[in-house]
Amino acid sequence: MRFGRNKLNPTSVGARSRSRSASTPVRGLVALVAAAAPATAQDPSLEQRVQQLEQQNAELQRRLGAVAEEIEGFRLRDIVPGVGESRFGLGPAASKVYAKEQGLSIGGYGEVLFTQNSGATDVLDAQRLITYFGYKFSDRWVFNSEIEFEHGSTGGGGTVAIEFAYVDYLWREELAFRAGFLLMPMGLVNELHEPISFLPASRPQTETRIIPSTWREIGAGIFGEAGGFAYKLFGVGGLDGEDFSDAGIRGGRQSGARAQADDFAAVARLDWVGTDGLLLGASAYHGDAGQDHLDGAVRITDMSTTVVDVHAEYRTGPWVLRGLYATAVVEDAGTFNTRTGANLARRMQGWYVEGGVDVLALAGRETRQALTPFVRYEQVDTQAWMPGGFAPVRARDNEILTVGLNWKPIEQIVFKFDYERWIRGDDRANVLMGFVF
Amino acid sequence: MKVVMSSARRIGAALCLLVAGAPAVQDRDDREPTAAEQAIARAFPGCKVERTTAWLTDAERRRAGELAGAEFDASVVFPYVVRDKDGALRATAYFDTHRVRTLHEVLLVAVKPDGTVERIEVLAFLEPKDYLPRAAWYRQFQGRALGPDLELRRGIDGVSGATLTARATTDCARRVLAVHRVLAERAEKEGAKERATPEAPAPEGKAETKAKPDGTPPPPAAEGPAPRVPPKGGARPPEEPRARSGDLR
Repeated sequence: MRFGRNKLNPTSVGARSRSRSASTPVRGLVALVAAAAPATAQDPSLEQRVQQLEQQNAELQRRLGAVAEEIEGFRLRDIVPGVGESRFGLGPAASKVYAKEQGLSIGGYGEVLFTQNSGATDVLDAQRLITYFGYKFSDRWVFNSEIEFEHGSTGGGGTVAIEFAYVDYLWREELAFRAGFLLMPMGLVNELHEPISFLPASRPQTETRIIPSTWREIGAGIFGEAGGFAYKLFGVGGLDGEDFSDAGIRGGRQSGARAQADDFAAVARLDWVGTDGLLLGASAYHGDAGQDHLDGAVRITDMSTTVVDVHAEYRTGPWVLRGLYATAVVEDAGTFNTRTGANLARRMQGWYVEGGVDVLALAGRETRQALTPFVRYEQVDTQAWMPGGFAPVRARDNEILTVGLNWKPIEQIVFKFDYERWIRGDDRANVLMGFVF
Repeated sequence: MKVVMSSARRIGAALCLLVAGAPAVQDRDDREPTAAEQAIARAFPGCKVERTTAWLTDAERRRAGELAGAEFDASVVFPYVVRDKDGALRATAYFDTHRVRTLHEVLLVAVKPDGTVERIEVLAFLEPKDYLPRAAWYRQFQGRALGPDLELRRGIDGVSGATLTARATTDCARRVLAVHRVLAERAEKEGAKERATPEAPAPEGKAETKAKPDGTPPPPAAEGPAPRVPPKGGARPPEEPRARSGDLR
């Protein structure tokens, strides 16, 4: 916008007219004044230009301030002054500040695996692709879900499944509610199984056969944090013991697929989270798994099933260390075996420890890559205690030593190279690519 | 004569406005505090807060990016200068909005006069709550200076299940400390320039020494971020830009 640069200044025109008609003394006085301040009295265009510059500068300052405010306002548009109580995990300054009310969150992860088996066919597998969808209806009502695509194609034996789908009501940090298709809050892997979360290519056998991850059932319950502890307590649909076997209880997962709902269970978890980098806790599941399967007119058995685990994880600087012990007890295993011809154990157990160190960080290299050699040692026995009259299947008692290298070029992508040495069973070498987004 | 004096005064005032190109200091007494200002007021109760605006040159943006170890694309930042009741500089606070996974979060990062992190507060987190680290995790940033240790798996521990949030927060801390240092370097240069300039009589109408033509008192000198001071305790002194050869992102 131009401020009159093309307009004649009436003041300057009038001054020239008056000077021409003035008397000689006045003309001389004007000349004297002009000599004292020639740039202003005799050069009206300079004064005009100064005025214009003043106005332009003032306007530019005003606009610049307005633009700066708009920029800051846009950047901080997600902060909404709120009223009420603290949000989960936020510091004192945020106690009254909430996020925007609504938002769709999309994410996912995936794994592609090559396994070389020492005594069997080598395998290339698009192991899984998980898509995550979450929606925040409001600050209190939130929906979370994952859909899992496994093994490439349903035409080739792959599956498509709902991993979880539940609604949370976030009432307070100490008490919130969850209902829907839930992940069982047990172990270290079941709730947190993205490929960047654990070091080796394969999940531990203990958390596959005894805690049968990924284990999810339909249910509802409460969760929260207080005093450095985090807890979860859910009521869920029970397992179906009909498909238990000498390999463990994994076959008993119903996974919300028109599940038998004659028996229910309870699951609880308690973790200490009050120390930076340390997770220490335990979880327990208990419920009948008989599901009223009948042999004639007689219910086979209640098959009361209890699974308990203790777990720990510690991360400090470049080091990570985690471990877990789990045991499962199935009552009436002998009766079940007699009626069905199975060889189910009364008690099964397993444990592992896993550790690694990012050698790039340890060496002080200035890079965001991570190169972590690791080792996992595991013992798992799904035939630890047998009911009377039944002998254990020796092949189910195993020790597995896994050594390997975990490389993250960036936080969200991982390449894993490891070798599993099985005491009973085929050794295998794995190469896995995993990603999270 | 009256015409000449009036023109001279206007010239002087115009020169004053042209010369006074310091960051704008906004007077917000006459408007409702914004959400950001409310957040700072809660973080620093009883303190005086002055919002400033700093426009960065291309060279300063590049310098900030080098210090942070990542591209720095903001041309303007808004340091909030926080002072105690007695006027002592308490901290300089910055707001940073960035993507975590697919949605954004807004962090308040307060920087102490020695250039280390005073605290980090989460003001908005649009991702699911499961991706939000616990409050205790953010405390490990306190006292951290810009350097190699301000990085995951070094001075900053990771978080299982919240890796992307941990990365976003760490990058934010580096970004804020980097721009804070750039502004401190600018302030040092400007101070050195003023000390090197021979003292001359203040021209009529210059804002720093005289009242404005309309009689209002001159504004206080634009404070900006505190000059760089070696951090206390075991924190390492501010480092040169990190070498990033061979890095893959």
